[in-house]
Amino acid sequence: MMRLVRLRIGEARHLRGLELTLRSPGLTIIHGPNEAGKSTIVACLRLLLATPSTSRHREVQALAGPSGGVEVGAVFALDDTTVELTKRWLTRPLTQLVIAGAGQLDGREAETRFAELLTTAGLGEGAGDPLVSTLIDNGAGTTHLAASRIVAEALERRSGEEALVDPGLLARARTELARYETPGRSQPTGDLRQARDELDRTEAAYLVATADVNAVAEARRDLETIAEQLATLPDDEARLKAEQDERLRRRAELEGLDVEVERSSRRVADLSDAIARELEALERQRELASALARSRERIEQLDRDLEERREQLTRVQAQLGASHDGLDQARRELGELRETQARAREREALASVAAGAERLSAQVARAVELRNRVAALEIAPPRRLDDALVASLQEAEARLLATRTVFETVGPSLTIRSERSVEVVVNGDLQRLEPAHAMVRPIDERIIVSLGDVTMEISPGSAVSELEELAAERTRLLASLGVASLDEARALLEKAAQYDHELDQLRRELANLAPDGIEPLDDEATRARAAASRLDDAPELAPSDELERRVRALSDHVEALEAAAEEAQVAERRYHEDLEQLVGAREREALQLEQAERDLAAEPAESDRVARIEDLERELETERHRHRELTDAIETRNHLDEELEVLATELGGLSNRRAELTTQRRLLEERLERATGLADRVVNLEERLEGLRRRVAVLEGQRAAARRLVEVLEEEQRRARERTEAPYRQLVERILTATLGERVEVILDEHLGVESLRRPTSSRTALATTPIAALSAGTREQVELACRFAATQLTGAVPIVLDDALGYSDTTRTRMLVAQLTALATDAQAIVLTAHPERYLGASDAERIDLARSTESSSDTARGTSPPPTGAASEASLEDAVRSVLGDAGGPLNRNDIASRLDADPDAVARAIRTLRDAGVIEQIGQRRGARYRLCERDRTDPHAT
Amino acid sequence: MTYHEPVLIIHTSDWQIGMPARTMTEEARHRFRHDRVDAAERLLAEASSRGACCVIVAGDLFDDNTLSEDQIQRTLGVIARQQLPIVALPGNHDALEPHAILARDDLPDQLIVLDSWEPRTVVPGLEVVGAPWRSRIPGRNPAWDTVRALESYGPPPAGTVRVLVAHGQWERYDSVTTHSTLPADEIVAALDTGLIHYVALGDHHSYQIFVGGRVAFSGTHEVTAADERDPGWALAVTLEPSHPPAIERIRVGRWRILTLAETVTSADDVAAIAGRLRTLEDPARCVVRLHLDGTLPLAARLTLEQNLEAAAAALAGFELDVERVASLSDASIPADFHLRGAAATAFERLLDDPDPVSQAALRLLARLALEGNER
Repeated sequence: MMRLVRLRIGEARHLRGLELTLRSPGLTIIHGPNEAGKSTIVACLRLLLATPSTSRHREVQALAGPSGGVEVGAVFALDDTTVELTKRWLTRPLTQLVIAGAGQLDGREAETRFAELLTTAGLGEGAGDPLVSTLIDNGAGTTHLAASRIVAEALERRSGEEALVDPGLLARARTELARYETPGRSQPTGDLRQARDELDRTEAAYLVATADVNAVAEARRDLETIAEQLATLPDDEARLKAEQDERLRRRAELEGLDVEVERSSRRVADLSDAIARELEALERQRELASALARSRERIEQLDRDLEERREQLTRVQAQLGASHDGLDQARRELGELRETQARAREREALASVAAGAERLSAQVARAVELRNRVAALEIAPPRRLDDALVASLQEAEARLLATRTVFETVGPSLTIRSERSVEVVVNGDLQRLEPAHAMVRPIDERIIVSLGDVTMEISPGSAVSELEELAAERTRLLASLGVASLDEARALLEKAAQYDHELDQLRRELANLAPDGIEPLDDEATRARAAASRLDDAPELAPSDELERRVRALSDHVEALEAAAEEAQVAERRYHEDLEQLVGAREREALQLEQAERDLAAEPAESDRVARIEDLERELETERHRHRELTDAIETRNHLDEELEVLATELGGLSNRRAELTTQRRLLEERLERATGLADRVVNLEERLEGLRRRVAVLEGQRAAARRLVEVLEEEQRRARERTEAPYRQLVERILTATLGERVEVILDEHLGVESLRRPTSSRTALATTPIAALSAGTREQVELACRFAATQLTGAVPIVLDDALGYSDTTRTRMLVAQLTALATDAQAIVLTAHPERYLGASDAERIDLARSTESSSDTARGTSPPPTGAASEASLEDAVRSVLGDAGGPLNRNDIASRLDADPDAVARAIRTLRDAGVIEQIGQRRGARYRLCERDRTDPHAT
Repeated sequence: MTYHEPVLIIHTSDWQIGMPARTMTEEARHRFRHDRVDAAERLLAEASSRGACCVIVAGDLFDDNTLSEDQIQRTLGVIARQQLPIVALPGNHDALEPHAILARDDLPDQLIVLDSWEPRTVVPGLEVVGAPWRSRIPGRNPAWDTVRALESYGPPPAGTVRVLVAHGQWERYDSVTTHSTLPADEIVAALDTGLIHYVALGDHHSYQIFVGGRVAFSGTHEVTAADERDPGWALAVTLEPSHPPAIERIRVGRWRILTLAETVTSADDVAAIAGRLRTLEDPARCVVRLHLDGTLPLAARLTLEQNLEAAAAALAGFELDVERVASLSDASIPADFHLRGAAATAFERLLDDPDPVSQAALRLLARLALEGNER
């Protein structure tokens, strides 16, 4: 653990003799306006810790004070040891280390000892710039933290002794693997690739060689086979030759056969033809005799058929005559019967006419009666009343009755009484008066009474006069109608209606009965009666079913007889035709018979012909036998020819085979001659293959081992990193969550830098990831501070130094961060340098140092012992100002622009620019008058760094 | 010279001139092949000095019929420089197939090739009858035909010993008769009936006798494989018709193929084995196959192969089998290699993994750690 107890700046830029005592643990706020020297203090502190006094680096030169040198001293508490380290650069370099209670060391000894003390205090070997890890100034990036090993090492110490794999070891393992395969692509490389390629080539060569070996072995087998085949060739040739000679001899014996065979063939053919002709003639002769006999039989049969046909014709003609007689009789009977039937029908019609005449006479009588009754009615019609008057009378009667029924008494009061339910509205109130109940009302009330269909508005005072008016109206109506009462009027109305109805009925009946009047009807009846008078002369015959049945039966019988007669006529005609055909056939057959008898008489005797045929057949058999012998001999000769041909082919084949085998043998022998040394080649290749396979196997084994090792180391590295960074990450997340006021997760890169944040989305249901570069400047600054706070809290090794921080943060977050810083300073040492002390008002316990006042007093103090600030000091201030202007501009500016913004002398600005350019702090773009200037890359990202 | 006295022959076989030597270094291979011819020359010189009447090579004088011409000529040159007859039987490796070496026209006069089964008088008093192989894989061993033919020839003349020279296996393995199997019963019958007096066999590379020494495998004159039992000898056989053969073994070979099996339990054991490898006699003609088992402390196990291979550098060939050597784990071991944290965890993971790849990775890790420490 290191604490900065006191810092003394003997000389740096414009500062001289400045001495600051710092709270430890605790928070010290050093404030002052721009150019008060805050950044110079930080730069001096870094210089003291990290730069040997012999250095003349431009950073040292940039801090040179009025006398041209830099002097810084500080008292550190390193665990339990208090040391004071003083260094002077540029003029009379000095390194001095005073260890409390252990004396003083100078020069290199002091440097070495101080480094040892740092290491002992847990700041890690080689952590030459321990403040880097916690120093933060306005706009600093997270890379500072990422690059610092002090945080990583401290985290490793927390999680265990050197949790991560030594990078050198991992690099060596990867280098070892790279000896065998390309990184990432796993392609063989180096010796392994060479060995594999060599193995592939050798295997290919070995395959070729073994194929050659097999070819040689095959060639040897082929040669043996060829030798055996060549050895058997002479024997085969001799055998074939002998067979050829034998067949040639036999062939010679069979010469001259063709003519004999031809002759014999012709003789056989002639004999065969002669026999065939004779047999044909014999057959024809026999057929002739047979036909003659058949012809005679047919003539006899025809004669019998002729006789039979004639008898049949006679029978048919007799039947036909009888049939005609029966038919005539039946037709006569049918005629008579039909006449009787006609007379009966005529009488029946007359009877019907008579009945019609009677019906017409009755209709005439009824019509006359009806006409008389209508005339009687029309003579005395009934009296008729006015319907409207009757209706008015009826209404007046009803109102009178109702009024009387309701009003019982009219005096000082009115009693309303009814046999029915009455609705009474009295002064607007509806009341129901049930039957048998009375309602007594004062006569000055207005009452509306509803009784059935009648609704009356009653003024009891006028009830009597109203009744009288109603009675008078009834009387007037009765008089108008000429009746005594409403009932009489009603009876008169009903009587008139009945009269109208009866008259209408009588008139309709008469119109139906005699639509054209009674006279035409009467004429028709007269005519009917005259027609019916002939009935008396008609015979007493009536049509009957029996008569009908007899007529139908006789008609059917007549039709049957006519059909039979027709059929008999057809049969007669057919018999006539048959008879004529038979006669013709008989004549033709008789002619043929005569011709056959003549032909048969011209043929020789059948026995002679048979004997001749037998002679010819014997001769043919003899000739055929001879012919077969001859053809067999020729077939044998042809077979011999074929065999001779085959033998010649085989002999030729043997000769070819010999040549072929000889050629093959020569080729194989040449091949075998070429095989000399093949075994050596195969052996060499086998041995080489063996060696190469072993080598490839060994290299593959080494490759697998290297790969396994790299995999295992990387995996363990990963796990260790996860274990190591977890507490750091969680702490950063806790600080950020408190500062930002929402849940924050942090994703770190492999160098412990913050890669991105995960924060709730607007819906607050999920976390969204935002890369660090996409955050606002303020949030980036807060992330940076959270990392620094976490690192300080976890390591506790060095003070946290904030130079002009919180420039981008809003008030709320500033307050939160200051609160975090205050809490952190309870155990750690925190030093804040700021131009805005109001930002830290929340840190009530902080030690506050007004740098302007301190500088003044130190300058005053120095004034007695040191010369006043020279132009060099103000030049240095101007350089800072130029840097600041360029940092704020965001782009290059020319000299006049800078001078104008600073309101400074352009020549002085030009000098400051030259100094800064020579020191590599700014760079020039363009030449001469167009020259513009901007901060170098490093200073652009960190414009306030000193 | 008339031999009514005992006949001395030198029986050898399986010179296998030109054979491969797969497990040796390239330089050793060349020497090995060269030495096979040298050994033959020494053998022939020894035969002459002992006054043998002939040398019988019972098959496989050459390893292949397609050797390079210089190897053939070198071997034939050695033979041509001798005075005594050398009777060679074509075996399966140098069978009398077309264009076989033993069928060449330019063979030295001293070289008598047994190319038929007819008895042949090599010197008066000695008849040799051969069973030559005419192809590498015949239908059956040619000795079947030779023994059958012997019955038609009848016994040799009085005072003459007859030697049957054959190539193949005397004992049947698993009762299976192959093209290599000799007609053992028939040969014994021929011996018993006096048709033959001695059977000189080849093909089996180790010395072995049967039937009371009347049937013998001489074995190869120079070792060819690790599984051969006591190779590197030739047989001086004294023959008389009425006496059983008298066999004397003559040392010819110089090469050794040693198979060693050792158990190690400490670095001292490893050092002792390394010391033995360093002090082996004539290491340039020695091939060693070393099989180790046991358990070693990890540090010793990690350097085992390195140490032993260094000790065997002078050998003609060295094969090391350490698959069965386990390492003894120790909790303090990672610290011994100055490994901490994740590297130590990785070390222990590999240590606990018996997979050979992991074990090799462990050795690599140890080596890299040591290299890092040295820096």
